[in-house]
Amino acid sequence: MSTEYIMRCNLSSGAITREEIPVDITSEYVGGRGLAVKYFSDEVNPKIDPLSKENKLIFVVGPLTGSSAPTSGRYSCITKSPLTLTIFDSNSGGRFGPELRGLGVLAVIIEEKAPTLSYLYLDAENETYEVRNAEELKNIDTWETIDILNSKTKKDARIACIGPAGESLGLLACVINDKGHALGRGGLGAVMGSKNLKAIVVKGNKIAKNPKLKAISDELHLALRKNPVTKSALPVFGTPVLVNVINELGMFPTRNFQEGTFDDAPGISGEKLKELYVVGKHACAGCRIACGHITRINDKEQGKGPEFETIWAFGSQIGNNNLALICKLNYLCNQLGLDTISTGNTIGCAMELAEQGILDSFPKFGETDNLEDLIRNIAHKKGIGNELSEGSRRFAEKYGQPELSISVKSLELPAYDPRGVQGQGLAYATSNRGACHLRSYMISTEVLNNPIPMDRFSSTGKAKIVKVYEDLSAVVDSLILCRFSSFALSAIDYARLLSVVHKKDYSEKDIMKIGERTWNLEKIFNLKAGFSMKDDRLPKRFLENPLIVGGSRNRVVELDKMLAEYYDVRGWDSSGVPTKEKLHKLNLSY
Amino acid sequence: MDIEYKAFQLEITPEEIAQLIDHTKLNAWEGPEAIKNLCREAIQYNFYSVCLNSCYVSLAAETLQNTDIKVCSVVGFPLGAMESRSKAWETQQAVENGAHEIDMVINVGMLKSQQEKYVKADIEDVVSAADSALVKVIIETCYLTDEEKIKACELSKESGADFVKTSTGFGAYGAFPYDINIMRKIVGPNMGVKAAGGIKNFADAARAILANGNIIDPLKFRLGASAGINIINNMKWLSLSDNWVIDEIPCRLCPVRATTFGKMSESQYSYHKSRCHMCQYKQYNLFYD
Repeated sequence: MSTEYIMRCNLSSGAITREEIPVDITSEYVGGRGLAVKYFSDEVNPKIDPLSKENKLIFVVGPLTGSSAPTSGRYSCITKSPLTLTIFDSNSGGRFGPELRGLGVLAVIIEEKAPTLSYLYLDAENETYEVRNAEELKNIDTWETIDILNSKTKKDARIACIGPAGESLGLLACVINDKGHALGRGGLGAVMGSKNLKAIVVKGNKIAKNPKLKAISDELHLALRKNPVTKSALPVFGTPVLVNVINELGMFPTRNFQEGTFDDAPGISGEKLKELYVVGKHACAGCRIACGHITRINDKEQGKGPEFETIWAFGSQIGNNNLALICKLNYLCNQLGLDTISTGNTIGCAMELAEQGILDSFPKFGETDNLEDLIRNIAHKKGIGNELSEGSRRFAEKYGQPELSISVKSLELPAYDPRGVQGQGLAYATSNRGACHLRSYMISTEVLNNPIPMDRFSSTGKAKIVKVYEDLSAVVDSLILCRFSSFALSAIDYARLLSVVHKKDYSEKDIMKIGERTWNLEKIFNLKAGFSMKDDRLPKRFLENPLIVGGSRNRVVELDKMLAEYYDVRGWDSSGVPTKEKLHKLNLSY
Repeated sequence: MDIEYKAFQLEITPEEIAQLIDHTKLNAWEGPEAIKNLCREAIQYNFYSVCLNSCYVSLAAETLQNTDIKVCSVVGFPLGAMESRSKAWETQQAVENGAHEIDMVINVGMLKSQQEKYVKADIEDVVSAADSALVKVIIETCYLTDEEKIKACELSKESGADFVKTSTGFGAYGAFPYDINIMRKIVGPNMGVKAAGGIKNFADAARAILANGNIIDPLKFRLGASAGINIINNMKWLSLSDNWVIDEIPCRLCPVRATTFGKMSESQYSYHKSRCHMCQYKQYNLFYD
């Protein structure tokens, strides 16, 4: 196994150093999410304030990043989230990841706080690594920031940056790269803002090709070309293809999850988006699925996306059927550096409060005239935007209606109503970073019949499958490959890829154990941060209030039954704490 | 419906299932390059055969020479309504060009008009022209009543065909376990049954295999699929858990579920729907899953 390195950047002193990663760590944690969780857990006190200088940001890639392996163009960032207070990794595509890998390191650990607004310049071509002043970029949006920094440094440098939302330390702030790809969730933009870090500019060397890897990669590319989801649905319509599918099944959250069917869904569907606004396609580095779309809504406004989740967040969630407006709000959030899922979800929560007469002078569902101003105010923390910028949980609590926040561990739910998908409900509840559909994408098996179909209304046997997806996803995030690869590939395929780059044999079991180890280490961090089984819950409406109409009517999530089974399957005690035996098997301790 | 279906208690390896698959490409727009790719994929995954339109038989035979992979040509495809002589001639040409197997389409209209002699002679002409090549008779179940399916199987067997096959994949719907089960019962244990059309993933394949009585022998059972690679890749997930269990509902096994007005005759549509209304499992027929 080749020696791998990390780069450590101290924003306070400006010192940038390089360290060797012990071989046993790369062997047990691989890279990406796993490696960063290991370093973060070892170096950061779980009880710190996420917006203090004690928090760290770990930008990380995997051993396959930028290689010929399918969908290997991604990168991650790990920190303690100011929104959820959990350990948190967020993952983004585009072209930044391979450039970061070109620095010859697996991770860049960012520590302390810069005295003034700064950017990190990491250039392997010229061997220039320094913290530079970025005062002139104050309050500049992400697209302009990228343009300015590209002109000041290198045209082909790749940039991840924050917008005004991150600078104002709003908890819905994200990090944007390539003008439309985001480390979207968990308020990571605010952590960058708290460190006075406006951007990271990276110029890497070319990554050496591995002929052995290419042979396997070609085979796996074929598998992706033969999978119904990755060969046609995603390339043709992108993720918005899900709008009509999920709506037909009655699990397309509408008006803050009060309903599961949106009458106007066809008008905001992927098919309609393609018909009216899609003008081009784009792909992340090295990806042949190419699910990304470029949209243009008028002569002046165009951009990447929106994705399915964003269409939902600014569509049915807030009662809006104007697809052009959804595109516009998507561009705006990308420019301001806001997570579209949490922003739309939180606005929906406020709209429900307004409908109930609890919140005065706030738009109700379907009232969209001032949404652009509202979103700007969230980014700049002005007026009611200041309260909304803290996310739905804190907002709803402030108004005495915590149950109207549709979130888990303070992370707003995405666009699948769990009353229509039992396993996904369990996955939301047990996710280490809050309500996330990607920790364990049970939609694949429960809705898309891929790879093995399971009855979406049944809770039987779901705990074991949720665990499979959680562990496997942790490995995919460690390699790092796109989660979409898992539509066609499985553990044995990932084992083959890792065996080539590590020059060491990994079995399917080894791969799953790596994922399980990462999952348990995240769990331990969260337990130390003060989380417990009471946080593995879903909002009350999913447990007590069935949907009235649509394809998922008359059902609630059978969480208690599945959760007990899940803890057992995980080898945790009945209160959701990993047992000593389990941790010993994973070479962990608590 | 008398199929007792235990979801995924099927014990079969990817290698075994590959040997049941006729790796198929029949769309009108596919050209020679696509056929070469089809053959390369068949070699890579060791599928039993490639199934293609008759104009590509020579190309496939050449590409697959020195392999054990068979070449299967469709004949009279996809409507089966041409003259018997045409089918026989197409069969003869395909065999001369290197086809090991012939998938012919039955004359559905004649069958439904009780022209049994005509239908039998039509099949016999192809069987004769095929010489030693194996003949499968596509009965296109989506257009038939149960009685007609039974008759089609009996005529195929009497005509000396080797297999009966459910569908072209171009009809109103494809292979359903219900039909496979009927066909197996009628033709008995020694004749082949091929399930084709709509077999997109491992679940579909497993249902078909179980409906056929779990016979893992390519001379007795075959899956016609363009999704063979996806089926094999799906199987890589099976070893990750012993809990890939679904509570199978009877309607997933029944073709009535796929019945669509406008894609079949009005009488056929009504036949299906009336059967559904009388079915003991009709409470499961909820169209939102």
